[in-house]
Amino acid sequence: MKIVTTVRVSLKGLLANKLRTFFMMLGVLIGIAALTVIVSVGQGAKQQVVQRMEKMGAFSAVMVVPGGGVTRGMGGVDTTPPTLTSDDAQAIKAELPDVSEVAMVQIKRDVPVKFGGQSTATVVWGVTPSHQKIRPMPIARGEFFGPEEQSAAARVAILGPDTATALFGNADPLEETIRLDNAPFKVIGVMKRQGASPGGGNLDDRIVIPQATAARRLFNVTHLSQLVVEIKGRDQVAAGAERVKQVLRERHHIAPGMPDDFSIRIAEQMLGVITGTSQTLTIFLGIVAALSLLVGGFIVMNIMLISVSERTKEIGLRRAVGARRRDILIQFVLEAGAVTALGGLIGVVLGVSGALVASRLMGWPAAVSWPAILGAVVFAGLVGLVFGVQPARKAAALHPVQALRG
Amino acid sequence: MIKMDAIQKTYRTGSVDVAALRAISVHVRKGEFVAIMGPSGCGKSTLMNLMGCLDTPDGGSYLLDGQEVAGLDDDGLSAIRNRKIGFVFQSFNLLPRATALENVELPLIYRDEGGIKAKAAAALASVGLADRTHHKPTELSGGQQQRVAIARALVTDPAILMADEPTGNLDTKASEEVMALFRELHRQGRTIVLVTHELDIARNAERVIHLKDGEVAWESRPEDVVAAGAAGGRP
Repeated sequence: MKIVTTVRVSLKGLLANKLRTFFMMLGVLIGIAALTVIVSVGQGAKQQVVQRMEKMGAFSAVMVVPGGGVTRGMGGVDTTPPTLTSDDAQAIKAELPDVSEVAMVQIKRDVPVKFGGQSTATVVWGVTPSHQKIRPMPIARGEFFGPEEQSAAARVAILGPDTATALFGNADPLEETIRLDNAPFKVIGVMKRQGASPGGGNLDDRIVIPQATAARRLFNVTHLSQLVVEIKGRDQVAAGAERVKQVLRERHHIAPGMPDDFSIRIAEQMLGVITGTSQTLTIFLGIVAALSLLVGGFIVMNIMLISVSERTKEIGLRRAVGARRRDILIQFVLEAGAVTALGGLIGVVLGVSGALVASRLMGWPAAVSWPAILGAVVFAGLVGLVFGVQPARKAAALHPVQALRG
Repeated sequence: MIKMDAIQKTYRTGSVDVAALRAISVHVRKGEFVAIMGPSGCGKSTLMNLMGCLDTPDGGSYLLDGQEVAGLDDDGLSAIRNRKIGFVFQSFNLLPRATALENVELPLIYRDEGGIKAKAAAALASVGLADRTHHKPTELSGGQQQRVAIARALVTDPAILMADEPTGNLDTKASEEVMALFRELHRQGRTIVLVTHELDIARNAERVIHLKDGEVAWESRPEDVVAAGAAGGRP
């Protein structure tokens, strides 16, 4: 018997009892739909994080923060150990040829800020202009400061959009003078809205000023909150990070075997932390989906067993007109495989639509992964083939004489 | 065409062996129309199953169209059924959701040949149902359904046509139509073996084999059977 004919015979068997076929595919359908949603949303979340980090230029950068051991996020200059200095930054730039830029960052939280009658408190970032080359902050209005403002320690400020609204409402903040810790600063720019950072902080509520201004006129400290080092070539980042580490250990006179008094983070690590969490979730939900596929498989097996005993006469007739045991076996296995593959296909369609609707309604990112979908349909078909074997064997084992009696 | 010699078949029910056929010998010539008669339990169904290669004998030799089939395995028997035997059953055994044409195609899908549709349509035409190819069995009368079944049996051009009580589920008029078709097929040279318990039906055959307790009780010409039936005993 030709394979095309076999498939057609199997499909006819399925069409003959549509309601039963529907129930057979239901379990697999739900399993695959759930799996598709999980994979799509998970993939979308990961892509979103990667995109956001790429936009920030995070992948070519190495971040150095003071203090060894477990890192504690972005510490302000008043809470971190004073081990990282501008001399470290200059040494890294001078000694490592594969470093293209080094940016110094000083951060202080809860700095009081006033304009007219409005006052609030926000986080102030003092950064060198090179920071804008490594991790550009998008500017909506006005402009970022340059090397002149840095060397002159100019009192200029860029506002995050939330900060601007808090101080100015709908009025234009450009060219206005605000007071940071009572010192006057001229607003020269407002940032574009960026939303949450990959780590979850609000990037829209902050004030950015030149690092020299922060060190000399506002924070009155020389140590840094962060060093951001740009390495030439994105695939060289891990090796570059290692060289930065050696330079700093030497400069800080850390004996071999002793722990670092600083921490180095590269984007891949951060990505790992973020996606690691979602991976655990994905694995858990994947197990749930796999279990529902298993249950779906058992449903298929049981309904196929019922189908075989109801179609005993048909089997007898087919045997009488020349079907071999093998022909009967293949017919029923293919029926089971076709029904679950079809269930998988419908499940994928529902799952993809579900993921897209969810992303539209709830703002979840969703990415459709076609290889995963193909895999899901194939896997669903396999579930049917595997669970169809036993009923099919039962059908094939029927003796023609007994089967004809019904 | 059929040479069965010393064929035995024993069924085991519980711990008791029941001999369904005791070393029976039946020969059917090519082109012959033979009826097998006998009371229920006489072994005629068993004989039919063995002749139709649906079952294997416990002993004896069965030459079908010159080929020994008594020792064939399941695949071998399937192939013989597909190639050499056409079955007609009492309850028609049509696939209820398939059209007449699809029902007739059924034996052909188990061989690797082309032209299935044309052959099936020709077989349907040969039983006078050319205008019913796309009807489902439920849309056909009993007599028409049985004629579809006969077309299905003929579509493979089998060596033997085996009919097991083919008129058992039909009224008198439909029975007569179906028997007329069998007579016509016989006239065309088909070898036909017919199992029945009705004298009127057996009368269509050239020769009647009477079974009793798993053995051939006697053979007769149909006219004798009718006479014997009328006289209430064996001649």
